[in-house]
Amino acid sequence: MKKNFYLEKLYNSKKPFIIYKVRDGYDLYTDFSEKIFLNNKNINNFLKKIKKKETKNKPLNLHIGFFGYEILCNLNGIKIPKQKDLKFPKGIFYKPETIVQIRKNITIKSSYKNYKKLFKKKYFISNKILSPFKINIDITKYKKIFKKFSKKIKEGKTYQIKICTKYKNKSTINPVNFFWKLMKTNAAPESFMIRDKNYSIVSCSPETLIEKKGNIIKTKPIAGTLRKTQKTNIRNALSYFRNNIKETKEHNMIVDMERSDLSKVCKPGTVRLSKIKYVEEYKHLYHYVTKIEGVLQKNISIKNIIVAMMPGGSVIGCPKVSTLNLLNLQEKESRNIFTGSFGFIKFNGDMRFNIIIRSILNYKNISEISVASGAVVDSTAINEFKENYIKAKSLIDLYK
Amino acid sequence: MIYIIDHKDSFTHNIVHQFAKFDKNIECENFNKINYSKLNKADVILLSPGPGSPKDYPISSKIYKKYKNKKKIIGICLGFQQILFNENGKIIKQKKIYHGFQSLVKVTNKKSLFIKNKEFKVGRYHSLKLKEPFFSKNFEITMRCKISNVAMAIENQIDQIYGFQFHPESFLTENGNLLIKKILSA
Repeated sequence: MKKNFYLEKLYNSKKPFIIYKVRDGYDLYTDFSEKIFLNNKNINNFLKKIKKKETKNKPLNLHIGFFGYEILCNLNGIKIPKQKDLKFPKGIFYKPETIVQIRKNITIKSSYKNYKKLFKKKYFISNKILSPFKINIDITKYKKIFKKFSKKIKEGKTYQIKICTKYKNKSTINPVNFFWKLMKTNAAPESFMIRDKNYSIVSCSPETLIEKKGNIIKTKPIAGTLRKTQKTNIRNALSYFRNNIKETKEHNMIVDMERSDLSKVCKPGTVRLSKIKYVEEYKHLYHYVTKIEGVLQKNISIKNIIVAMMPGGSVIGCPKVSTLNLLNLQEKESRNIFTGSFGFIKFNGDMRFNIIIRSILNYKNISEISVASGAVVDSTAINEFKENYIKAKSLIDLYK
Repeated sequence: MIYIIDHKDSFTHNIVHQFAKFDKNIECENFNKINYSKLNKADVILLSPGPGSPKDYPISSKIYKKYKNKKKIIGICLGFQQILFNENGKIIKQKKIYHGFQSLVKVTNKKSLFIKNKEFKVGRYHSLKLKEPFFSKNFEITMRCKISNVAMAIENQIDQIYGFQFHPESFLTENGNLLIKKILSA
């Protein structure tokens, strides 16, 4: 990437900004004129008033930010018992006034004339590890939980449930440095980063949960991951997924669940699988993916869509409500951003949201990386525990 | 009007859309938030799939007993088991569990609305099954899993009660719409 004087200055300042991956590059948002902390009380009002009159500067007619896991459970009427938590905000949305479109060339658009001068002092934060990573659930505990959930599956209380483990260390990180390092090895389509004064998030999420343009809504669930080796290619990855009963069943379940979630807000007869069970290739792995879309009913609000689709089913399990309840009773520690959603809502009601997985949250000098993998009937505790580690590894490696 | 009783499942709205192909007037409410005046007006009651077993849902059992013989009743997955449970059938755990599984089903009974010996693929999401032998007045087991022989459909033409252990609304089921069309017009 070309060096850009403005970006260099921005990176070496204290100014908050957000980067979101787009198909042919990255969009960077900054100069936030509004910062809205969401809670269970103000979220309804926030979602109701988000449709506004558009201004001339079209790419800036949006709010960008994230919903944490807890606030999404709450919107669905699911209460979480008291947990250990960092008091991290339940959700934050920003109104940017400057966008930097990072493509082959860099384009900057701003509502402020003097945006180039809006920097205070130089500031640089370095990566420091103050304590090694620790996991919150060791293999013995994990096996116990696994056994308990397997029993629930046999009783039909859940069909599939994703057990979440969390890696934590004490550290300060330079999110810009982490993010671009990560993008070199894994520029996943829903990658993003947020750098704010007292926290940062670095993510290489692969999963699009909502893409809404006009009255068309799309989702793209992933269920099935295969690591790349010298012997794998896209064709034998596909036959691996097709012949693997566990992966196939998990995938089928997620497809039917996402169809049903879309059906809550779409016109009958319009929900269809636009691309069914195919493989997407990334630098280090393959994903088994299906594209689903539908036409929205009239009079559907932004809140209706969020409640129907979030938290994204593929990272929770199925059926969603009973599985969420099982998870919430089990988990002693807040998920914070994990399995929440990051994205934007435009003033015209269009939106794009991902599922927050494969992410680092750094807050109060603590980094946390949460991962989850599925207990279904054919899985074993040891394999799923290992899969969790593989998912976390590329992020943990950034600290080396 | 079709009244769908949702047992908070993640497949229910696929059923809503499937039935909307044949009846524009559909109500869908959670099992613990039933609107009884609407329920009373319905021509068809549908018991949805859902987690757990029939004994976990006494409200749905009550509704079944109240409206049996008065309205057409359809049960899918858990709903299928609820019908059987209320007809003194036993619902038990099965050794092999089918969640997201596509398997071959065969029409095994000539009293069925469907042609005997016809085979087709269906999507299944169940860890429990009907314990056999099962007998109840006017009920016939009409479809079975081709491999395991587990009961996959029941029909009671006299009281107009129909149930599927598999999911006609799943993308894994062939001709799901045809199945629903036939029982709705029966």
